[in-house]
Amino acid sequence: MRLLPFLPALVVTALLFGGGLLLGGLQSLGYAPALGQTALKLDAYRDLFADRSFWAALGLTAWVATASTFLAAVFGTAFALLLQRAGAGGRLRFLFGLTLPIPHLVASVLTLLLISQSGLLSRLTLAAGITSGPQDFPALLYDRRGLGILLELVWKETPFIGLNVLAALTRLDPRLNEVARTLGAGRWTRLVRVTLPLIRPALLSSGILVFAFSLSSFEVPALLGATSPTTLPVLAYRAFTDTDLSTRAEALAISMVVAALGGALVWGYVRATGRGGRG
Amino acid sequence: MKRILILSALLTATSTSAQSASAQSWTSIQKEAQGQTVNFYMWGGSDDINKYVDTVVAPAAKKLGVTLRRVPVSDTVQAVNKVLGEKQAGKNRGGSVDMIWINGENFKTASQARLLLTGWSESLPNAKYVNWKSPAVRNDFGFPVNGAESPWGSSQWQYVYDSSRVKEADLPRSFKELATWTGAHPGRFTFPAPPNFSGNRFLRQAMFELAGGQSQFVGAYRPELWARTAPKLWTYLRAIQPNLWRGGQTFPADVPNLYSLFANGEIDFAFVQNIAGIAAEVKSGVLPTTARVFIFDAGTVTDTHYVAIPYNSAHSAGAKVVANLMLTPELQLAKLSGNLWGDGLGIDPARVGPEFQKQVKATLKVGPYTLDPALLSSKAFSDVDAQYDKNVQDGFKKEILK
Repeated sequence: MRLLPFLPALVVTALLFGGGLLLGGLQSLGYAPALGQTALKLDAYRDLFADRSFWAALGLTAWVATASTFLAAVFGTAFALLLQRAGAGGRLRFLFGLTLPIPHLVASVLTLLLISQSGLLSRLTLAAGITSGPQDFPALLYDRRGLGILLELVWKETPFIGLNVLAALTRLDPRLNEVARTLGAGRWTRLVRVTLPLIRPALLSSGILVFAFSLSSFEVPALLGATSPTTLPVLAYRAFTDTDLSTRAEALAISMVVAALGGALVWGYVRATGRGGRG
Repeated sequence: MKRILILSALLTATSTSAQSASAQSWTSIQKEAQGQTVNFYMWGGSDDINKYVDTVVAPAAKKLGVTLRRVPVSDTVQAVNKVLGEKQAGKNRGGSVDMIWINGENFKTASQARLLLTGWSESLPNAKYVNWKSPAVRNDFGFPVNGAESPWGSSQWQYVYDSSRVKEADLPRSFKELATWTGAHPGRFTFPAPPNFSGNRFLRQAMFELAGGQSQFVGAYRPELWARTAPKLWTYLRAIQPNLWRGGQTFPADVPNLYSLFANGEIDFAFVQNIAGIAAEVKSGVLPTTARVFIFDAGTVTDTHYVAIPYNSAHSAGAKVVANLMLTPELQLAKLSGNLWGDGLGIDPARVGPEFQKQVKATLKVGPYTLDPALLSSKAFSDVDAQYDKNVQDGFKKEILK
């Protein structure tokens, strides 16, 4: 009965996401009637797990998602605290959140234009006589550790986490900090023992979103990442667009792995926050 | 008596209709095409090519009552995938893709998955200008065209260098010399990573030279020839890899990326496949005015590119009208001009007439940006069975991108 108001949303989710997941799952098992294949088999997964580039992609994806979430959380929280301390009004908050509506695709191209070896910054250092050509400028993009991808993700996601944390900070009862101070807690102790535990839910929920997004982000690694290793979504895209149509099963298998990772994460989050059974 | 009359009337009716079947059906195709919007899926990575389609082909199609809608894709396989997806979903009519710019491996896969309309291209009225007897037209990467593709143009591989950075005398003229050059100039050369079309083609040409020539690859795929050649190709690539741009640790994704690296001075060479060379690219500012074209001594790959119509196209009549339009001498000439695109002809000038042959000569302005067509055709060889292409792509992933 309590679920009734949510029914329309649940139906849409179940049909669109569940249906897509089911179809993707079927195709990852080699189901392709247009190619005359209707038998279900695990070949795509077997090939995938035997492929070294898959494990390299898994490693890079995990690294990029973890590092970008961590850095965005640290910077986001720091900015939120600064903004709150400064008693920043709407205008500053607006400026802080300005990168939010920029699509990742555009942000990636901007990153490219700005910090590639022949980008705008490189031209400035050249004009200033600091470098003598593109080869002197640090190679931040297309590198094997995903530095360029990290830069873009952190730049885009810091305000997202920051604004969420800021909202939680504003709701915070200022008397808690005052009580802690009267009890002799220093600035650092108050941050760690009072503020952080109280903004933890906001930090965690926005962090989970950033992590899940980074995990499945395609355009950022496609534009700023190295040819190899690449991330799982790019690997899936490459397999999906292979002229050999039989590799489509492999593409869907990679997508299922990404979906499983994201699903496991959210499940873990729901369990950890104890919201599981209580709706 | 009456019955005989009717019978004879029927007979004459059928015989006349059979006689004019092709002409009649073309008229009916034209009629059916009226008001149709043709969704033309094509690689959209070149502004020059896009402009040719938007400013020359589309307005001409409009005059014939057909709206041409260009749908850009970053790789032709996306269009093939879309048709395949529709086929899988059981959408056998009213498909969303009406025409695809295609050749080579994509054509082979699309044909094998029965995604294309067959047996239409040779009966287009303008097919009379096409040299359908030539194996370079009849076969696409060694795979029979079978009336499923209509030629649009032809291309030949050329290399691009910047005369302000590299002296003509120092140019590498073979893959062997290229290896020496990269050794002396580390970080100044790269190529788009396969499965990019140009990247594949670059590596296949290296394969030809390392195996001792292209001629042995002509004809059906030979596994033993591949087995013999592949190790040489990977050894060669591993040898030059550390001297490539960014130490060969990463590669540009496509030709536009290659051009921007070249124009920004990060690398010293690029590729082009237009018969008019880089005339269009220099004119539109993509490449610097100091850029020049050259070819390797052993020659370079030439090929035909086509348009195809998916089996489930909702506007196949309109697509046929556009395919036919693309073959008109006037549009072919506009395409050849380095003012726009500079793409080679899809038709045979001799079949059009001496006047047209003269116009072709006048349109190709041989100079710093365009090589002499006689030189190009004397140094041309065809591309080979698509299986080699596939092997090069897979091998590159396994052997080089580790």
